[in-house]
Amino acid sequence: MRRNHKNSKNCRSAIRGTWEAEKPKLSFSGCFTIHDPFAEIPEIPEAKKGQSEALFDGSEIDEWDSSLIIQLDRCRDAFSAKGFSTKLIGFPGSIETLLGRTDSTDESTPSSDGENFIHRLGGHGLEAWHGFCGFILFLGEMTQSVGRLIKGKAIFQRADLLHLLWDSTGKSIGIVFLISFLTGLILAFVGAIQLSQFGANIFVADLVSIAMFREMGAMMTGIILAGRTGSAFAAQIGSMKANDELNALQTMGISPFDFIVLPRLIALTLTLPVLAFLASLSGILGGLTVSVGFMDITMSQYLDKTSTSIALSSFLSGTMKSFVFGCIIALTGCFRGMGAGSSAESVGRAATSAVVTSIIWIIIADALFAVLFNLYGL
Amino acid sequence: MKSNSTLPPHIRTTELAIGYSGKAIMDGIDIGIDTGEIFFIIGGSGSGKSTLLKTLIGLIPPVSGDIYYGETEFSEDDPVEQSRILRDTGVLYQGGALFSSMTLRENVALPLRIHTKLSESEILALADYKLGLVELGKATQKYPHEISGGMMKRAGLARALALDPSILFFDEPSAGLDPLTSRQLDETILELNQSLGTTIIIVSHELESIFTLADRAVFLDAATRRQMEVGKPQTMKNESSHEKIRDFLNRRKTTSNPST
Repeated sequence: MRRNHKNSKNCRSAIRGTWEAEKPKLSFSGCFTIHDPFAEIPEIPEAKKGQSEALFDGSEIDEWDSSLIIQLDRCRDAFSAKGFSTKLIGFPGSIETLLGRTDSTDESTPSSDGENFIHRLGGHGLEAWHGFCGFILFLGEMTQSVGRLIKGKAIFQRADLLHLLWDSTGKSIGIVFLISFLTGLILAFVGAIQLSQFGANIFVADLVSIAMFREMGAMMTGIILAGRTGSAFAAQIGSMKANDELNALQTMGISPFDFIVLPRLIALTLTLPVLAFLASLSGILGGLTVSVGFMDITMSQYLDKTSTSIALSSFLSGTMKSFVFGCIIALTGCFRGMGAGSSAESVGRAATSAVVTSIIWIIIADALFAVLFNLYGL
Repeated sequence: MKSNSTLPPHIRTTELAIGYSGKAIMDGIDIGIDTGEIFFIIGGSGSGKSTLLKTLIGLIPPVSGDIYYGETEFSEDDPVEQSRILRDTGVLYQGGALFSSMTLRENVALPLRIHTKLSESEILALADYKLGLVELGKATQKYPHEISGGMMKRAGLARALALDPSILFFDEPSAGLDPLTSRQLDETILELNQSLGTTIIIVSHELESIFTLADRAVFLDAATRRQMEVGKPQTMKNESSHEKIRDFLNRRKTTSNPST
């Protein structure tokens, strides 16, 4: 009864009909396995007077598997549509049992297929609204958690915090340094083309240092950490949720916000300003490389101009921005992680959406800062 | 279909040592599993039952020794032959291991789409039939997260059955199931074995399943790191020369030296 697929390469399946006898007969021959094409069902004539039963003959079947069951079921359906009952002869003993299992399938299509555009739009709208309400609740919980931290009642492991601090600074510093250096380099080249037209090459130092300290240092660091750390937060917390670790904390009387979210928030709000400062310095180094290498400016001239151009306000605005970006990345990463479902796919989705949402909010926050600083003349 | 001693063993191991990174956790495994037999791999926790199963299906390379499927050696040195053997093998993992982004029907249809040349309607008919076999005919459009643990296992079984394998491996099929669902799954396994003649290898320590289903079983012992005995569970329960096996199968606490 078991089939050997290796030997069935040249074995074809066929279904032949004999209609003349008192009982119409359908003969099955050859190989009926999932590796062979389905045999064509012959045209079945209407039942003649006196004909009520059809015979299915399986005595010439060489190999079979569940493919035979499906084909047999289709033939049986075709015959019963013409008013015949069917009888099996020469088939393996277990075929009746297996054939009995073909009727239990639900033919319905997925419910989403019946949804129209309005349904889907409404669904997305509701989803967005629930997401917004969820985020407000999340912020509320987080504020309580920060309150407990201030009172010294928040429970989390110091080792976790140290590990997170190292992970978000020590392990990110190389990439932050490289990207910022290249950003400074690009700024210097772009500036040089314009400024050289006025013989004002030396102002490249001002351009690079102000741009790096006020904008690019914090922004580039924010974007890098959103991709590197924010997504990791979402994936870690999503997996912990899938593994019931968050529920375990809750039942132990430990707030998941204190234990999981708070250390991440502290780590990123502390490290981002430091990294942004280093990024700005690295950008200035990039500008210096271009100025000294390609623009006939000496190193001392460049550094002198840089030191006079950086005002305290530039430094402070960059630091403030990076602090806010740190909050955005940590909160978005943790929020997405906590909202993830239990499947592998939803954890992946949480990580992706953590990155996308963080970057969008970083840009929005940066734009708001630009407007505010402009209004107050900072 | 019960074991048939006139045929050569379906799966055979000779002096097999299993483990990780070249370090054996169990050696000297010599078993021959007959075509159409229900064979259990039993032993205490940490005795290497799941490792043996993973070695038999090529997920972990053996530390030493050989595995044969019929007359063919199953070795990673011959990946083409190994993959041909694996296509004739179905595995049900502990949690079902369903793809969460696909409906049950799509999960079962996937191996058929990849390994056969059937048309879409034929593939779907076969997938629905396989789901019907495990009594999930009414849930073909559901996603894994919408169904219970027992249903996930049955859907995993339907997917393992997709290509009509001649060998089925089960890793702890009863784990996490209530007694009724567990019994239902046992009945499905028995029915598959009897109606399709599938050779079935099960890793389990669920005594009820062992006594209901097993034609034979191998007992792996963590203390001696060797296979202790191969035989019929009922005989081993009452007549085994190893007290540890008698205790295990009678659910008694071992009091004396474990190797006796």
